[in-house]
Amino acid sequence: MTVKDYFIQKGIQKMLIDRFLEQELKRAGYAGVDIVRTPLGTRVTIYAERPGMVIGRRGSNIRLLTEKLQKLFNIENPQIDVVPIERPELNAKIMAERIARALERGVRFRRAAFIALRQIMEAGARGAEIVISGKLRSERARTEKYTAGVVYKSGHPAEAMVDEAVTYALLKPGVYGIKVRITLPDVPHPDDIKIKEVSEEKEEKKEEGGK
Amino acid sequence: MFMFVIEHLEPVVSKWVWLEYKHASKIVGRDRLLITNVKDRREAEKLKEIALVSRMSITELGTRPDRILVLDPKANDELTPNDFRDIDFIVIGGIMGDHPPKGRTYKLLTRKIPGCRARNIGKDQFSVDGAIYMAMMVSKGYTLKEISVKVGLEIKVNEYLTIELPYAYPLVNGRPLISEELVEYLKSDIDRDEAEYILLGRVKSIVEYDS
Repeated sequence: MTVKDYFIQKGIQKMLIDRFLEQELKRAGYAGVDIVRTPLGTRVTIYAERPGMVIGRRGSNIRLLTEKLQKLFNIENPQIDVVPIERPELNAKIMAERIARALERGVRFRRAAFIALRQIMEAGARGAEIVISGKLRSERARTEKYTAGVVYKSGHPAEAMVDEAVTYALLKPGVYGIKVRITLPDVPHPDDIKIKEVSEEKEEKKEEGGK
Repeated sequence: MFMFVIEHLEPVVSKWVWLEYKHASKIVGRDRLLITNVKDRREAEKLKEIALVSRMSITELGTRPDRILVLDPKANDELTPNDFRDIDFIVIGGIMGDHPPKGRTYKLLTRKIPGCRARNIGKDQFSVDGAIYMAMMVSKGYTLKEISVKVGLEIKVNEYLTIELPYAYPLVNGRPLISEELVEYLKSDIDRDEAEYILLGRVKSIVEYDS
């Protein structure tokens, strides 16, 4: 196996594990996973809105998850850590899932999207974009885009400052795709320009030099 | 004088379908529009308000195939004014498009009328009323190049929400041709209706709105 193939395979496996956990932990507010190989085995860190539901009563869910990860993905001795998400409103995956679940319950999608948009902005985000697109039977495919604040779409800011997630709401009369982009508040932005205050001494020196 | 035919190919006449057909009827006039393949008796009655209606498909009407012209995006040749010589029907698929398109017109219509003439009106997907307008203009002697078209339409609902329709729209006096009623529906009530469809598990027919 070439080095390139090795990394591609690792990437595919991570994506499959992510999908698997997304399905398994839908109700626990699954937000992502980190997989790190250690000398003792593999550390799997699961981020979730409700860690209690991931762990289960006396760790029953975690034991089941450990077994499944071992069996389905051949992960050696997986050590699962569950980390709570401090501000779920600033996590794109959680917000996308919240909208998808609301749609499945029959909540009007504009109401669901606007509530999510308000929650994101109230949590301190610099900007957010929610895109709901899809098609119900006997209707045309269309896209609805909800935006507030600044959302970077390209370049370094888009990679470093924007959290992005996509999820699907599979419904009987059709399917919706939900994409959420959140411009995070705690990262320095390229637009943040600080003007240094000139001290009096420096100003005096400047004036003297000018004379 | 040839007739404009919409071969209804959707499972129900949804509100969106109804608004497009109604606008098509305004463009060519009730007496020159025939809607075929309407299986539901109540839907057929309702459609009689805006067009002549047949519960049979155009393929079952016994018309000579060489006197039928089908508008199909997959056809090799472009529609020209000469194509309107010696035809009785120009047929447009009553299909609410997917994005990207699935080529349903060919599968459900063109393939079933061997010997018919098939023409395209460009590579982009038009709405039913837009396609009817294009056909009418070409029948009046305009070539496709002489009719301006806008691909992709953005409808701004408010400061936060934009609706995007990825279809082609002919420009009339510089404005895209789309039913005003449809724009109003998209801006206001569609999310309420879709929430109801999701709970019902199916899209409602236009006749259910009246009862």
